[in-house]
Amino acid sequence: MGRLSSMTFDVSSLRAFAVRIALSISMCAVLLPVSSSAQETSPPQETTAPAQETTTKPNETTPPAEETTTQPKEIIKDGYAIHQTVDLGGHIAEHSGSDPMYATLVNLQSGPRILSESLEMHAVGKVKYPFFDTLMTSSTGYGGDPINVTVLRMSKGKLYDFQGLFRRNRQYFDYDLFSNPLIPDGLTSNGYTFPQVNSSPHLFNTVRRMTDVNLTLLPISKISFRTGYSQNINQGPTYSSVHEGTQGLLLQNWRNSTDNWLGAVDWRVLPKTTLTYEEHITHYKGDTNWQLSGLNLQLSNGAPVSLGFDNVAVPSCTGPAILNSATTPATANDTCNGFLQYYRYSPTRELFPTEEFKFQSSSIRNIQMNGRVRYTGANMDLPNYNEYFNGLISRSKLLASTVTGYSSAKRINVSADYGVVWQVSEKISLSDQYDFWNFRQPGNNFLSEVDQSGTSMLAAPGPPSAPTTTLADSFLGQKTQTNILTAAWQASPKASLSLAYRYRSRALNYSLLLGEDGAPPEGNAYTLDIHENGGILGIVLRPSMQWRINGSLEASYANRTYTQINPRALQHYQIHTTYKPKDWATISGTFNDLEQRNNVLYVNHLDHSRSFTVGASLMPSERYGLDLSYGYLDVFSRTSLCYAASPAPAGAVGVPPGTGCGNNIYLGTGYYDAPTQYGSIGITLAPVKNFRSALGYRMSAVNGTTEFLNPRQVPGSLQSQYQTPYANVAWNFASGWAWKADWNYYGYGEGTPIGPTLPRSFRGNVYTLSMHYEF
Amino acid sequence: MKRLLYSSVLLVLLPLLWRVGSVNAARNQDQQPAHQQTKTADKSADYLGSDTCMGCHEDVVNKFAKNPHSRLALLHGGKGVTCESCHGPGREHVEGGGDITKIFRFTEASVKQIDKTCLGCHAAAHPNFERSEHGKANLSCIGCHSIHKFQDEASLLKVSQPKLCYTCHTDLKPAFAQPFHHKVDEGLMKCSDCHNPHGTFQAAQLKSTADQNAICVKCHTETAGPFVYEHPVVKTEGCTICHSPHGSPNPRLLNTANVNTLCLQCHSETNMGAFPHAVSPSGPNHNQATQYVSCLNCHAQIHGSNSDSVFFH
Repeated sequence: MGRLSSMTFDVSSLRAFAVRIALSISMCAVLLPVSSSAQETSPPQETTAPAQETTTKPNETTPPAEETTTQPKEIIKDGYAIHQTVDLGGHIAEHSGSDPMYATLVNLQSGPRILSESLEMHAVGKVKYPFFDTLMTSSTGYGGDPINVTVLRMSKGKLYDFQGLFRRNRQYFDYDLFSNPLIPDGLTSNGYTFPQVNSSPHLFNTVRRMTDVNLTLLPISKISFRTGYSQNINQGPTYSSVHEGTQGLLLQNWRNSTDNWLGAVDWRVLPKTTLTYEEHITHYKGDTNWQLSGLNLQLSNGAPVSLGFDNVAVPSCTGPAILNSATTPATANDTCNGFLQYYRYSPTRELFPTEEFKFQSSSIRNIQMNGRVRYTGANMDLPNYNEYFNGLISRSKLLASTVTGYSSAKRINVSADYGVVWQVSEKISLSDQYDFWNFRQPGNNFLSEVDQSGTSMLAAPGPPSAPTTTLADSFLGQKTQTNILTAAWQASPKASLSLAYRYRSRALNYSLLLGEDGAPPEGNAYTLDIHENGGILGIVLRPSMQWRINGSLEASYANRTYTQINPRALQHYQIHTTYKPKDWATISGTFNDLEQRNNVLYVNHLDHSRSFTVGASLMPSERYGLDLSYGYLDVFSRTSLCYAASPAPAGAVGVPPGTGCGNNIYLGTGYYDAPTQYGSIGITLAPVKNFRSALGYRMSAVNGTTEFLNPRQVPGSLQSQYQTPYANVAWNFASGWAWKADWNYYGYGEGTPIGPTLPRSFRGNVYTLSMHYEF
Repeated sequence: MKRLLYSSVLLVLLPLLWRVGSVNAARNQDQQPAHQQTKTADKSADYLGSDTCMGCHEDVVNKFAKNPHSRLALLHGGKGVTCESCHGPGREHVEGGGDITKIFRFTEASVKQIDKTCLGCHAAAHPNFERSEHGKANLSCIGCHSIHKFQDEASLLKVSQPKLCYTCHTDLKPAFAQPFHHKVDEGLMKCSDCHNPHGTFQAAQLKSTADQNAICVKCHTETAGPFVYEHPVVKTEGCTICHSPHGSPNPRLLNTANVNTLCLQCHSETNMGAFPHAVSPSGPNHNQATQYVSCLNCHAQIHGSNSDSVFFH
């Protein structure tokens, strides 16, 4: 199975590139102070440490060394105060170890970059400008980084506000244990060794582009108008799989796009009352298609074939699975389960119009309330489903099948929410929130399958059979009502208490009826009513102006649950504390414990998520600062579950009498525990005015255990460490100019055993050299 | 089509029903700071304008030009006040020689006073704040925002996300440092992409999509449905039944290291009476030690399918 893109680089060309980058930046450092000329600037200002970057930087896993400039930061031109910055440079990236894991977790490659740029324009003086008073735009990561972001904001006085955001993200995922069959070593047939699957059969290499724009007209008027548009396009090659007698690897050409339009009116009907109407329309297009991949063998007539990628035992055929291992590729037995050809098209269109009416009011003295009503009538349409299989399913003697059909579904979604807060007295308030949500999803599907029989992939498929039709009628619906009643008491300026009661009811309705060839449909249908009662106690303490402590305790109980892992009983304990002894010092800590259980007989589900974290940020002066964090997290769950395995994993327990596991012969615990430790330290240093630096170290280590249902299963990332030390410097060598250098290290390792696939550990260094100029 | 037409007509007609006028931030009976609201007489003479404030607070006033609140000056025929819209009328403060007790200071005000001042204008945009987790925790607006010393110009935040959120939510910093995580620290996403820190009607201050779906679907659109064959828990229980959205040591942010364990937790015949949905794989066809090492190799369309009731395709 090949990877979907090449991530390797020639080391010698890397060195040459590094030399070119360093030379270019050095030349700029020498020449620029000589060639710079005076420009129209605003009067010189006293040097101050600038605010941290207000633009998000892709891959900014390290706090940047902040620039200081000794010259004016703005230019006044044509009535605008203009400030621009640009960071040009590049990465020099090298890594060793697992290429797929480096691409999955880091994916930074060598090359020049427009690391960041920004432009700010603010109108100055009394002159009015037709288009904008304020314009701000910034971009990061262009030129080859996996994350690119562009932000644009414009506004003009009372007239409009505009915000635009574009994000592009290349998502590469190839964790080789995910969906991996774990082929045993030494699986051979007639001298041919079945290869291990060294990439994830569900590998992803997609690019997501998201655009969000919003325009508000007359933003501070009694009536204002909003319009917006969002687009999300996600596309790229990925892998998937399908079962037809054996597992076929599919090239999944991912292509989905969603467009969302918004039109809204906000009317401040009274000084403290606002009515809002919003119309949303969302249109989804799903054009992903699937093609057969992984044809790594051939038939005796030369036709490429796959016997499946997950053969953990030698395929059972009439004769040996491999007829001749000396050919290239090896020759497979034509009577094995196999794939010659497969494709699937399932073009889907969905339309989600939503009407929303909202109100907010604090016109009544001491009462604040708000509410909304929403209605969505969504439609899904799949008019032309087309699937073709050509190969062999030996169990049913099927050589080819063609499936066509159509599907449609609706979702009618109605919700209403209301919240009110009544300040009963100076110290006591009551609040209530009621939520109603009802969705109904009817759907139907018609499929027609035409089969062609045979027993050998070398033979042409037999005559087409009469179509087999399948009709499906489905329904899923749920009505949820929740009410939360809260009383709060401000006992003193330093302490307040709140107590809330929550009631929730859910009525779930599901049915799926399938009918074949005109027979009466039959299937599964059920309803479920769930009632939940809960209480929440909240405490806020201010022992001093510098010290805050927030705590909450939540407990709830449900009479039943939909699944085994939903909790009947829940307790949630949280404490947050923040202490700021000085303006430059912040110490904070959190304790968070979520305990859930579903103690139904033969299920015995128990899970918890506990964390204890502390952090300190100390910035006593512009010259130095310290940032520390430590965290301990523990996620645990266990649930009785039934399974079959042969050979069984070590320690497998047979199903006790009366447990009811059907044909499954082992009772497992589903034990999962992931204790994780996290630590980070960061130091910033600015020994002189024109020089700033930062260095630090971060580490996340999990030492987990889980029940293995498969004897070849390994812990993988459940026992792993991820280290990311960093360092950076910024040197202001001339007016408005800074030379910057960053070093980031990425080290990922897993515990043993590695398993039958390739190791997943890697080490990587990314050096970023850049020139920063602001004007 | 009819609904769209009707909605469009409503949108067009609404502006004809009332006078379009500017919101006046300076009128006494409207949006004054909380401590001023008890005064009933017309005290507009007590508002001196930002030019007066500039006499002592030149730095602050000069920098205020970039602040979106500066547009308050455009109201009331261009005579709106900016500083005093939040800090209250300045006459007594000026006549007292800069007496700090005669002006509203956010740093000395109570949480309720601060919230009332800010929400006097921003309540429509943040109607759930008082009932939100942050509101109930007595976190005032200036806990996160700073009008005069912001570092994030977009929302006048004291510090950009996620560092601001990590100040209190220290437990999330380790979560996003796990091997598999949503790319918040890398700058692709912000906490506010999924959560509304000012509160929503949903739990955990989560947002929802325009079509009332889980916020996850805004990016992961292929899971939105509606599907003919739903994996019901995706819609009834939510994405967190299988995934840990902040970060996880497990690939695809799953709640367990092995996907089969995750599936078998529900799809086991243990106590079928209590869980009628629990379709259980039957052995030995689903021998965990053979090719059924991963349920997803066959049940690939696990979030829902329009063509197969067992999610093969």
